[in-house]
Amino acid sequence: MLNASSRRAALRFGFVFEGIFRQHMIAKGHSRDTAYFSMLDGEWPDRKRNFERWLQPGNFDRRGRLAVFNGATADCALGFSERTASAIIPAMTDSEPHPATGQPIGLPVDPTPAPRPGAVTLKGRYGRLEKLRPDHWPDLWDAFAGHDHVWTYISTDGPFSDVASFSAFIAQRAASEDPYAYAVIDARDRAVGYLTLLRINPQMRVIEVGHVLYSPRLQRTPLGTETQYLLACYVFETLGYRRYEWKCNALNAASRRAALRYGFVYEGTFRQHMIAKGRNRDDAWFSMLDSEWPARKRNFERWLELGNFDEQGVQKISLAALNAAAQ
Amino acid sequence: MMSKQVQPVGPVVNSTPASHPGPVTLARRFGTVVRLAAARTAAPLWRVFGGHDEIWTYISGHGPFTGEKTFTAWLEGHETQSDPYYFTVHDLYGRALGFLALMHIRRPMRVIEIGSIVYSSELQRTPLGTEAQYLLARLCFRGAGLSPLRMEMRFAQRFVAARRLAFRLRL
Repeated sequence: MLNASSRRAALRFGFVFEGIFRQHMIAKGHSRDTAYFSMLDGEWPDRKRNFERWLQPGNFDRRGRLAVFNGATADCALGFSERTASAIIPAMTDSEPHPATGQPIGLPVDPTPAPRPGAVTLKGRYGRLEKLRPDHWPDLWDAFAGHDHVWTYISTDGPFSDVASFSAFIAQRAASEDPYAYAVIDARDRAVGYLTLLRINPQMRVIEVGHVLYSPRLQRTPLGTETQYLLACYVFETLGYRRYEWKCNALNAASRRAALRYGFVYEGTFRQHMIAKGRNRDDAWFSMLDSEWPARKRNFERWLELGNFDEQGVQKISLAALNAAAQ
Repeated sequence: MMSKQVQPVGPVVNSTPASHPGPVTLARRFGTVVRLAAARTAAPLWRVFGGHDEIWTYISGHGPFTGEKTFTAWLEGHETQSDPYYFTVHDLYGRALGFLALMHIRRPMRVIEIGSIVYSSELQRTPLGTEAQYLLARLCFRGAGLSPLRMEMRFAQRFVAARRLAFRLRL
């Protein structure tokens, strides 16, 4: 039985634990959490030395048993220790014994695929979301031009220096099925930002919100928060996804703060996960589960009430505080 | 008004894409790791896998197989795939004892994953089992010419507590 020991094997080989993805898959009709480990190029010379030291013949006696190696057990020579393993206490979802083998497996789940997102209009109190269209570009250009900093952590696109390349980009975004983009329309009927649903996995009922681009007109407004509420409602309640992901450049402090404020749970950081715009990118991963949504929804609704803002529009209760209390 | 915040960015790295793994044979002290050849390895693999349904529990997409025929058909379907890219592990007698794959290969990002690892009971807890990991990691980081930045490992986050200690290498 290999995989029951895989986590220990990964640590023993010198992989570094990075996180648990909750409800990451539906495998053979059962819910599956996935543990992620990695080894970096910079770590390999050290791991390689340990492998080679461990694999040399002197490390085994004549019957092939492990010899004591420099006063330590051979597994220690490979960099594995009980302490390392027990230091990792993952937050996992529930399990039950496999009916035939007794190995723990995730609970059975409905394996019916979820629908893909569609061209809906999601109306809120402060504005609405609608399918991004090519003709949204003039509003968006007006909102984004001169604010190059909004593109810094977008891994492949922007900033744009001219109208032609920007309108072409919006047209291409609007035509894409994955990422699938929605424009954020304010109360004055202007497009002030967009966001997308991406890495859409109907079989696993996993979906990600990303390429979130808020112009200064949308940043730090009730509509910015309501946008997240409307989209999460759509994903969990209308489409029936069971895992909603948020990922960002680990250096993007604003995005990390936003994820926690909306009620996503931090799951881990993938080191050297991408090369973005010629630079190393570590990725921070967050998720919200279907079982967590009702509590998050209540907090969103409480925060979004008109009564939560004074005459200057300043909030009375913070959403970050509401969600921090819930977690 | 636009908020002027400090935006830290990562260091500049070499963005030349890494190579895709090729049909190599990696030989060392305890055995070899070779590109999957279903016609040669299906029968010997079935000899060590058959009757051990528990090795498939945490493999998300396939297994256990009802017989050699369905297993062979499955294996044949994977020998031409480039991702996952399967290798088999052979002992010094040339017997195939397990397989593993390089997968989710993202050459532009220089990221690769080791997965779909199925070790028969004859490969589990042997030096060869460890050596196979060493050989593939070495291939990924150095042998492919352009080293990946990152190698990943992931699996179902479930395990039998009683087996925690059992993994220690014992022959």
